[in-house]
Amino acid sequence: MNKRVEELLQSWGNDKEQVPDFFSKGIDDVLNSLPGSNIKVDEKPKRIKWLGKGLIAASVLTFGVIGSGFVSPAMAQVLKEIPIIGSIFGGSSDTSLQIIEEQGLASQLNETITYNGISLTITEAFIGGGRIAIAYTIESDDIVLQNINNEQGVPLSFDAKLNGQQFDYISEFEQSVNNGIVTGIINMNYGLSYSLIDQPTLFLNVNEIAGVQGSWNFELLLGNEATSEVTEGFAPLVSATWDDATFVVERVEFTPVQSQVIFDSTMPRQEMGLYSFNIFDENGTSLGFGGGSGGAVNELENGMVNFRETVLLPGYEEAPNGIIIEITKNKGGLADPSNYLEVKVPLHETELPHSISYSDGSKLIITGYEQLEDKTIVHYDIEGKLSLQNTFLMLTNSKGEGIIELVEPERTSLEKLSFKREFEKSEGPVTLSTSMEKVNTIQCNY
Amino acid sequence: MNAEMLVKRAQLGDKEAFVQLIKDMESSLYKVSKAILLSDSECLDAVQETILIAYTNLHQVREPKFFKTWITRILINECNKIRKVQTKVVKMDVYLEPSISEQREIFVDLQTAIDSLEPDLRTVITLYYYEDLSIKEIGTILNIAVGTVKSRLNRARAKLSSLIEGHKVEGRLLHE
Repeated sequence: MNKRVEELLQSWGNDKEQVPDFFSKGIDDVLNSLPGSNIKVDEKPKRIKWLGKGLIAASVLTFGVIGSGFVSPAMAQVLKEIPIIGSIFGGSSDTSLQIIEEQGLASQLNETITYNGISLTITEAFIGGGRIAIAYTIESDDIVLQNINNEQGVPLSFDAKLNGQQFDYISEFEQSVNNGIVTGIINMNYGLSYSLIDQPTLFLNVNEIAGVQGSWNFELLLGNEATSEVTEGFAPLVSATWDDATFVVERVEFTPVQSQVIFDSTMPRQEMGLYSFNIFDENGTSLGFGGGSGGAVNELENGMVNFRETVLLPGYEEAPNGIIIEITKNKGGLADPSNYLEVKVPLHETELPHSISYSDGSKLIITGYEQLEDKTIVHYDIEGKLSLQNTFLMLTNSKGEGIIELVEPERTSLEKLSFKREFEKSEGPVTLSTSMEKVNTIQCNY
Repeated sequence: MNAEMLVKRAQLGDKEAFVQLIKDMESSLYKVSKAILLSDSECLDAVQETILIAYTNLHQVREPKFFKTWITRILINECNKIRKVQTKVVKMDVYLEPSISEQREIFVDLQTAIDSLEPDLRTVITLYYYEDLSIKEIGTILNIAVGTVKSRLNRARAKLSSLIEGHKVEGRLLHE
């Protein structure tokens, strides 16, 4: 290519042009109109209708699902497994996919289609917990294939259907090239607006590999007995209502690779997107969060809508005995910053334990901190709202520089709701910051 | 505060952090949408829709460092939706559009040449040179293979060379 054009393109890329005023204003308009931007602070708690177990909170609805009904789904058919040497899942950088190999959960497929001199073989596949993982190899003398790490890049393009129906999925890829052998994994998180039979068929239509158009169409029978045996799933059909919104826990499924909770939600159309779910085990420990997705929205009468939402969780070797679900309305999501107050606790000059109280009666109690050689640990207890265990905490040094958080919160006691967070090492005075909702309080003493 | 921290704060309920993220990306959002759509008002429609989608689905971003590629992918989807609607209702005539007047003089020829590229080529050029995204990241955003990104980039460069050197920029085709 012409060197001058390349230089021009480089300069053009660095020339961050002025955005037209009307465009900038249009962005401001939409940012100002986002849900939550004009919320008034509640002066009294919302009315909450709750089915099952009584806990009243201003912004959180909690309900429990006791797992007495955990059962393994019966498999209609058992795949004939063809042993192959080594599993592609075992070489994945994703530890949850490595579990597929370790526990022999993959269905062995070994189906090959050759088109335009490119042979694509689907070697094995896994389905469970809202996840489909497909391992493949590619053989060709004509194309150059590349390593794809950290799920950045698309080595092949495809369409997929489950049992002949469209479904929502987000796909990521891994691919490695070793001594001319190309192996890869298509990793799909999916959400369905319909029930899945025990052993679904995935129609995988690959239409491009490394820039070469073609047609590699597979019909893959997913699911197997091994996965069924390690899957603990049940359909609790427990429901809760919040004003006009109703949530039904339709299915809970734990697998060692990934887990999911499927909700059937009905609510006024204007409330879509206002609710979020936090899921805990029976002891109140967060089960984490691995993303989520929604199914198709069905319009009902009187401005109501119905849809399925899937909350994905990490894999668990053993399912908890029950789960507790906290539903947060709006305030737990993106709310008006003017309604929020930043709370700073200079740890070096604060007498611990130090309690931070929230409008619904919940408390975050900083019980201590340790400045070790390699890390800083903050210890805290919570009372009330369980999602406080994951609340935003930021640690800064005396220069106001952020100290990076290293790992997810860890429960330190089952007797109390005690947790710790680990940050990078620090020296000298440190300040802990969090944000909490402002509340207009009128105190009346009689 | 860096972008990753802003994403994390936004995911935890800090709307101000979300607003700052978007305002910091204003120029990028404009440029990417402009690579696909014809008019500024269409670009604004796409960007506004993108902001709403991003706002309500922010929890889907697993790694804060991927926020930029995630929102760019949403924006491109929204631009393509508008483009498809246009394709249905607009005649496939050659349409001469004046070059963007507010570019600096040195870039006028180049900008005009870029505008005359097919939308697919214009998009990869914008993402690569303006957004500083890697070929892999562009593949992820556009859901196309790395090889396709490279070939589009090479085709775009070759066309731009030809257009600029040959002064062949005469107008702009409405979305084909």
